[in-house]
Parts: sequence; C-alpha cells; structure tokens
Amino acid sequence: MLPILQIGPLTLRTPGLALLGGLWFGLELASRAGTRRGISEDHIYNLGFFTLLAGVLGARLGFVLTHFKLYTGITPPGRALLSVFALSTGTETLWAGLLAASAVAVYLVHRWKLPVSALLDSYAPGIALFVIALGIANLFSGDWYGVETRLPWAITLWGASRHPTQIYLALAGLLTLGLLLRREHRVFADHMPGKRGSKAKAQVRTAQAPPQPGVSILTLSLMLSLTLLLIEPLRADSPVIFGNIRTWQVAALGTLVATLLAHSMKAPLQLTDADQPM
Amino acid sequence: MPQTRWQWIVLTAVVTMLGILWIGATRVPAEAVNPTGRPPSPDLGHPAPDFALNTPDGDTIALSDFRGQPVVINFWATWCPPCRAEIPALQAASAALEGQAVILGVDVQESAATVSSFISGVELTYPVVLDTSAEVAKTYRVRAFPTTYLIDSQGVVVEIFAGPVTEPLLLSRISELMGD
Repeated sequence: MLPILQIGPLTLRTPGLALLGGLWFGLELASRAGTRRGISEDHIYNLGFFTLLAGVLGARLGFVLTHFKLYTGITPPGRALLSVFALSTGTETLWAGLLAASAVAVYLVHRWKLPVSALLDSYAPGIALFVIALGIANLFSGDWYGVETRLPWAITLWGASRHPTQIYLALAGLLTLGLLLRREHRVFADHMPGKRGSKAKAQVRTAQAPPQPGVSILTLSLMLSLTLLLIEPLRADSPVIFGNIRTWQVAALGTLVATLLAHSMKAPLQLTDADQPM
Repeated sequence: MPQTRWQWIVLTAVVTMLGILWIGATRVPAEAVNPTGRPPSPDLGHPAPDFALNTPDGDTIALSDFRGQPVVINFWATWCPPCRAEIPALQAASAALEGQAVILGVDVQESAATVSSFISGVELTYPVVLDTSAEVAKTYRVRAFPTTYLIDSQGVVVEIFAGPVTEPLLLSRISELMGD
C-alpha cells in the first residue's frame, strides 16, 4: 500500500496515477483496435474522453443535487462553489455518473454514425487494460482488500495477512487482455505490427474466420462477470444489498446473463446442413 | 459450445440458477456485516483505537469521551498547506454539527505554542490535541497529511480519507451515519 508518493514538495497520489496510466494506455489500445475496424483514432479518443468527462461531471452533479441542502448551507457562496469543483473524491454518485456517461456516449455514437458493435469491440482490449490498472490502483490505496488468509501468497494489509484480491483483479484483467489480443492477432493479423510478412496467410485466415462484430465485447463481459463472481467472496470490504448479498456479484450475474442472451440472439434457431460438423 | 438459440437459452438458464446459488453461498457472513466484536484497529469496520492526548491548554481529551456520537479525527500539522486549506471546511462542519458530531484535530509533532498561535490566528473552535511523539499517528498508520478518519457513534471506523476533505463530504457522511 502506497497511497501517496512524496517527491520533495510534490505530492503524487499513486492510485490516481495508476488509473490515469490505465486510461491513457487503454485509449491507445482502443484507438489501434478501432483503426483496424475502420473507425478513426479521433473518434475513439474523443468518445472515450467526452464519455469519461460526462461520467465524472455527472457523478459530482448528481451528488450536489441529491445533497443540495449541504451546499446551500455553506458560507460564503464562493466556498460552496469551490466544494462543488473540489478535486478530492468521495462526493460522487455512481448512478448519476453512469447515466450521464451513457447519455453522452449514445448521443455521440448517433451523431458520428459509428458502428456500435465494432466500436464496443474496439474498446474491449482497452477496458481490460484499465481493469489491470484498477487492480494496481486499489493495491496502492489499500481498497478492495481481501479476507484474512494464511496462504503463502497472502499480502500484509491493514494489519493482517490477506488475499491479494487487487492482484487477482489485475491478473484477471491481464488474462482477459491476453484473450482479446490473441483474437485481434488471429482476425486482423495483416494489420498487426510485425506481421506484415504473413499477409497472404492472414488473408486466408480472415477468409476462414471473418471478424464477427460484438465477439470481443461479449468476451470481455463474460470474463469480467466471471471475475467478479469469483473474486468478490474473497473481498473483506464488499458493498452489500438486501442485508448481506454482495452488490457486485449481483451486477456481475446480471451482466453474465445479458451476455449469454446476446450470444443466443446471434445463434441460428436451427442448424442447417452447412452448420453440421463434417 | 451451444450452437442453436435454444441451446444458448438453456445454458443461460443453467448459469442463472448456478449464479444465484453461488451468490447465496458466498454472501457476507453475518458477523462480518456487523463489525462489533472485532479488535481495535485503524481499519474500516474495526473499533477505532482509543487514545488520550493533551490540548495546547493542558486539558486531556480521550477519543472514548465522545462515544455515542460520530467523530471526525483529522490528523494535521500547521506546516502542511493542504491541511490549512481544509480547515475552513472542518470549522464549518463543526459549527453545523454542534451537539450531533465532533471534529477532533490531532496535530502531529508540533509544540503547544506553535499550535496555540495557529488556532488563535484562524479562530478555530473545534478541539485540537497534540500528538507530540506521533505515537497516535503511528497507531493510526498515518502516511501523509491530512488524513481523516470517520468514526461512527459506536466507535467503529467507517471511512478513511487520505487528502483534504470538503464540507459537503463530511456533512453527507455524518448525516448518513445519523440516519438522516
């Protein structure tokens, strides 16, 4: 745990740095995946940036509106305004942030006429990379900590030997990223750096397995849902609903079911002769 | 892998059933939801370690004196710019919460004269105690200033803030603790 790094007069918040790094590299990865799918780099970056900005502002605005009395009680009003725009975290409302981010994303996708499935596929590797950064950020801040254990790979955190749940999360992100990049290599081998020599081979491969829009994002949903379902029971600080049910497990199961249903919609009602194995 | 839509739907139904069973089997144990009975530790869900320190005037204040109401423990120092920046927020929160919750400043490793002079200068009215040996800061694993602990009325640590806090942040959290 290393929440703050003091370099002379400079105070660096390591969790924030890890998240910022994850965001930057995630967008870079998404822009490359987008280019391979014919989506411009600018659209990927701008959509990511404006969606994130809307999420952050929406989350803060949501908190201000739901706690408006607290702000009107602050004097002088200038200090209330400073509190609204304070850089410290903790005064955000998750649902408002998600709502604002979704609204802006839907608006921009519609306005720029972007192909939704290909766009989501482009972001999938970047999101997996961001999950790795999230695990590292939580390790720095001491959040998302595990239950006590005597396993040899336990880490000492908050005065006890605990499951390194943050590292589990980062590893799950890494595994997911590996799967997604492997698929990118298989499907878009002729566009990958260092693979230009095998263009003919790649074209044959592409002809055999044409890129199916939506597969990468569904893979990501599947992997992240399974990750949360499996790691959450090892967390000691899980938020709960209905008394003692882990909130993120419920969200993960919902996402998993939605992902499987989305897969089912892509499948044919009945197999034709061409679908039958030889 | 399922090949037809119906096979996928059957798989989805099976996964849903298994998922519900898994979530039920791995729900948070009742004793972990209710933190009472855990050893004192500056960790979330644990009773906050008690301490007794002197004010710059020589009076002694113990954390346990405030049992029954939420307490905000703010570790700070006069030389720390972010600490000084958040003092108006703490002062305003203290005034707004008078009689309902306590803001307790813990100045770390400074003399009574330095702290007294600073308190008079900024007209600070909430209680401040002196952790001259930094023993309490060490117990609370304070790594940077300011660090703020939110303790509920039963003396349990419910939130830890590394870095400056704002007035709405404190008031909203304390309102939640008081069930407002």
